[in-house]
Amino acid sequence: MGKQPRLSRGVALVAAGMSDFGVWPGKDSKDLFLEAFADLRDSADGELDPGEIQAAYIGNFTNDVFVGQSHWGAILADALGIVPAPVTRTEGACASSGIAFREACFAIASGFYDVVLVGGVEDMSKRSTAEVAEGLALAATPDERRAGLTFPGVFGAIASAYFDRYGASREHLAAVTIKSHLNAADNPRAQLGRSIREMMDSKARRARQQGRTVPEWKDEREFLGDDVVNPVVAEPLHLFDCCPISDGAACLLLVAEERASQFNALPLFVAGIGQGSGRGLQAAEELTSFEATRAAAAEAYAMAGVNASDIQLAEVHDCFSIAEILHLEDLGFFAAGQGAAASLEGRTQRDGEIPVNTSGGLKCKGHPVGATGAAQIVELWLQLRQQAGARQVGGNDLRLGLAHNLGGTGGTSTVTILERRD
Amino acid sequence: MGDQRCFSDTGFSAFLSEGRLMGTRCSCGELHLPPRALCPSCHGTDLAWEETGADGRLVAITRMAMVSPSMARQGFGSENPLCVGVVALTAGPRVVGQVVEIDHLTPGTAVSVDWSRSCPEAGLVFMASGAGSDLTE
Repeated sequence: MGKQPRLSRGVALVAAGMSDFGVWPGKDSKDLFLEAFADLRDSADGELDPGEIQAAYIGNFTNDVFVGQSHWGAILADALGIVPAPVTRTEGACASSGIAFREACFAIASGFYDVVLVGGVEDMSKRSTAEVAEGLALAATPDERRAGLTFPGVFGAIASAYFDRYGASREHLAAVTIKSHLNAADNPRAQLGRSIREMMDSKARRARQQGRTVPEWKDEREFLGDDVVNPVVAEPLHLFDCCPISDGAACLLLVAEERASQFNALPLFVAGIGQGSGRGLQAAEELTSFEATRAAAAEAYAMAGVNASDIQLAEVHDCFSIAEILHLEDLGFFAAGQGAAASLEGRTQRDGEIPVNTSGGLKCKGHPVGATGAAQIVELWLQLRQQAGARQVGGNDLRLGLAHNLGGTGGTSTVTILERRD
Repeated sequence: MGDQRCFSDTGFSAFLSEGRLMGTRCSCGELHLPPRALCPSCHGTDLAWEETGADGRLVAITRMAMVSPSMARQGFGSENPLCVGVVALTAGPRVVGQVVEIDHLTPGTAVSVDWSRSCPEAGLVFMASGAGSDLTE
């Protein structure tokens, strides 16, 4: 990039909300989005009039396939009661709402709009697991799809390459999984809000009640090493290495910096945004690093004028346990090959040097794919404003948080850096 | 001189059905597989078909117990896992393909194209190098 990336006008985040993530047979995309929007309205100071919203950018990946309905921009414009304000749907696989956020920043920075809604929604659970895997694989490259790869397969292959190159093992993946569950246990909106320990205890309790042999696992790692409770999905990845199938929505209100105080006494500011592309398993530079993430991070850090070491907490795209490890390295928190050891040593825990996925991440908060990028930013909103409850990162001087969204086999990645300035 | 087929997936598939693994060589020296009509390295279009050879080694491998409905219809699943690998060809390019299952498939294993199974629909299928030798030699 030739010159310093910058926004020609400052952008502030003044409200944020999300639906509960989970499996919701009775809710469609409209219901989920309105639930997130109600949560967003609660987060603003005073009454937020939807009539103030001049435009919206909303990420969605799979609704055409999974619910057989397209054109969600117009449908959600109507549901929100903001017609004729323009609502644009963005699609970049699982990075769809990370893209929406960045486009909304440009729309405001250009001076064209002052008040823009960003969101994402996905309605996935009405399909079988195999159908969902096949639908999501639409975002893989054509050669990956021809070979029959689903995303667990793509990331299983990547894990094998990482293990081979750096000598890591499933023990390292387990450390990521255990942490995700611990964090999600303190997140009331999470889909899988139980620690591994709680799940072990409840399985033992049920066996005792039913007079079956009570399983004995020494610790969480031994539980995760038991192929009966944690069966293989795509070697070396097992069930607990994979995010669940989720329904959910999230939304964010972005405004021109000079308008921020009108909506919230404690706004956050967009310090840096970045987006990059990548090429999949066949043509990527390396199998153990995503070039799209490295480009997006470089752009966002340059815009914010900070380094990875300045970031105080991060939400990263842990669709699979191995993915979190790669992102830790691509985002510059740890050197290449060191992400696995750092995870095992607890350096990414809530009380570690760089707390990662305090929400429980995609793995446990849930991964309604189009909503994920926006929902990651909801977690930064809560943490940086000291509103994250039991999972609040310690210390009162939280100023800089980062969100990292990924689509496909690293085909698209966005990085967003938010700052608290008061 | 040279084959006049389009530098496209269609051209690649046509060669594949003839049992030939063909990529494009750019005048800048880059070898592409599958073929490209525009060199991503120099952005030039001075390209020619080149046979890449069918040997390489696995650089990544997964064994999928959970497969898509279309792969399940082909008989893959928890009882018959679908193995898919990333192969670095000796000629340079990396390709993705199914791998005929053998024990201890790990990165580093030498593989070659299994022409009895490779076709435009399934793409490339690899087997451990020498696996078919008792039949052919």
